[in-house]
Amino acid sequence: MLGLRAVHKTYGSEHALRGVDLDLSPGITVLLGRNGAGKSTLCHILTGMEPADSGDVVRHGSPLLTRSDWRQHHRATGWLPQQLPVPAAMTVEEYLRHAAWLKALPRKDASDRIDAALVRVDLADLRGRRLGHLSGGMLRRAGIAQALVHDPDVVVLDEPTVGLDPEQRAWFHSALRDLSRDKCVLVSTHLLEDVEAFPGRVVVLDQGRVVFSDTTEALIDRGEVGGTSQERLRSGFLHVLAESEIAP
Amino acid sequence: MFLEVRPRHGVLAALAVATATLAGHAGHWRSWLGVWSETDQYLSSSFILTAPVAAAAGAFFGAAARRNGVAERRHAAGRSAWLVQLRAAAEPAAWVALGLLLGTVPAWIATAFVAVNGFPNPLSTLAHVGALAAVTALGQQVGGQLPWFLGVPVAAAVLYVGLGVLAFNAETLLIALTPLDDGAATFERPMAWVLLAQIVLWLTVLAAVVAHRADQTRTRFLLVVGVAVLTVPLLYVTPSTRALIKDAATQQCEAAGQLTLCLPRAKAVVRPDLTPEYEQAVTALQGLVADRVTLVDDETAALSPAIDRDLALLVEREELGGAEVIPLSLAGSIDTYTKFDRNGIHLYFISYLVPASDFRLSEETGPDEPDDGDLRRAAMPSDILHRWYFTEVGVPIGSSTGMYSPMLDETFVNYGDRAELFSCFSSLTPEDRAAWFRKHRDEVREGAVTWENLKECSS
Repeated sequence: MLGLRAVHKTYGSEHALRGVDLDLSPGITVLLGRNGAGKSTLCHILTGMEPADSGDVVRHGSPLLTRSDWRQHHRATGWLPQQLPVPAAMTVEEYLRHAAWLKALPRKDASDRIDAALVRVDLADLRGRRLGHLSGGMLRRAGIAQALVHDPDVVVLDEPTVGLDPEQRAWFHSALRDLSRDKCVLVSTHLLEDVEAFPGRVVVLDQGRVVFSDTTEALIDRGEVGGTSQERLRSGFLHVLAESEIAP
Repeated sequence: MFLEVRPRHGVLAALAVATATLAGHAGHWRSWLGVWSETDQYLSSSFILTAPVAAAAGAFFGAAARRNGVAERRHAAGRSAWLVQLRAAAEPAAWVALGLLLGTVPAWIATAFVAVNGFPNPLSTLAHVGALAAVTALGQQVGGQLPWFLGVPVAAAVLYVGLGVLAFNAETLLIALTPLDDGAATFERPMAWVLLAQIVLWLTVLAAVVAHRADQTRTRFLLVVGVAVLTVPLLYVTPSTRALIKDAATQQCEAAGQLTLCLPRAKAVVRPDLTPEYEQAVTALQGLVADRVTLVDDETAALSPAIDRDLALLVEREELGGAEVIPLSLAGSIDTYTKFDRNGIHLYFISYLVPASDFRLSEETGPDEPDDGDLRRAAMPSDILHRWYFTEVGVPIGSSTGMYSPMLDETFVNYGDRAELFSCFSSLTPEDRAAWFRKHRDEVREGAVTWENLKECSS
């Protein structure tokens, strides 16, 4: 559905991405990596927030080349950045209405879509509250709502669970699993807990390269035998990273 | 409905621009109320303040959009980048334009209540709005790069200093390219094509900024070329590229007793205050002037051949009617401002009718300075008449009575024993004085009145 082909990105002399190939399919894909692995850069390029130095973003097999391609891509993609600066004076509803306008949602559909998005993130009762008066967890929900308001087929979430308490994190896991039933969801994280919560496909990124792309079970299998599944997952992740450092 | 700019910030920006629109004129409101072209000129000249304020507001909005993530979200828009960036520029510009209107409308209303003819010039206001919209967008660009506490002062200072430098070194260029035009012109206004060209120029600048933000490289290049092309005809604009407001320059005469006062329609606002002054003057000078006097404010002379022809016809008609026509360009001091100086009115009038060979406005000593160390100048016959006139019409004499101070008291003039001639002349009945004036009219009007003439007073 959506992917990257041989994408390179550098910041000065720092290589953020080195020839990344990636294909997202319906359901959840977890993008796992240490801090500085290039996850946010990958998300930015995938969502068109910044351009790649070389390589392509492809959708349904075709590279996005023209402004029109990118516009269509933006209309079909929802995006929740790691840092979510918000206009504090806007109400939740105004925030979603702004998002709906930016995503070119027809005015007649906007109200229904806003209602649906608010229900989906359990914020229907707080639609009139100013964003500046929301807690961190509520803000993150509002962020997801704005990413969903235009009913995209792809949703990209960069570190959505960082800074949330266990209860909120559990809510997020549940909500994203629900979301992945009818959408292609990419969740970027450095938390193994998130990988466990989303059984499905895992892509491990290290030093700007994809070093693993398979199921959660396959990553667990790379780890040492014995111990809890979380310990085996950590072991598998570290094993993958160690292999990537040895590899030329 | 949603607004990208926080309404509270928008209102503050609008109030700041409104204040800047009017602040430059605080203290001399009366000087433009009543004359539309004056009002337009003053509002236009406020660009020197409104532009930096608009740039600062733009910088603040730009910084806020970056800080609160709105700028970033625009990059992932599913709409045309043009539309998204146009909206981003339009909202701050609308607040700034609202501020300009908040400052402009009270001035219009105040003028409309007093002005006898004319109407505001909407093109002038539109040019101002267009320029402020572009400046606000440029300020947004600065705010998008710098934190607000740097961007706001930098944007305001750069623009203010830039305008100031141009005002001192390339004033003509500044007047041609911006709505800023502080040359007062009661009967003229900037030509429509100049204002239209300015509107298009600044909207093109705005479009270029929007194209830049929308990453439309080729369009941006074409628009920058467009800005250059639009600038070319404006380079030929000079402060004299103005259109005559014929209606404002048309003479309007009204009779009051033996006086007929003719003023251009734009200045008719001063008529109620001016008429009693000249009535008093003409009454006091019975015998020196004709029984019917027509005062013509001929400030409009040489504005156009048609105006000159109308003026000549007016003078001819009044003279044929037996009136003595006195041009106020020679005998008056009504400038373009609606508030006139009463002392000046009478000083100029009596100086025209009773010229003095040695009349001085300052305390300079004259050629007849006495040898006894007295620094006062010696009195002249005309001093007696002038002093009597000022006393008659209630204009104080002395050094501390304002700009047009007739310095005729004993501090400055040594009347000696001729002071009694002043007492004598003052004690005449109006009929006797008129008879004296009638007898010595020619000598007095030619500045050749003598002490002997004045001594006839006692006989």
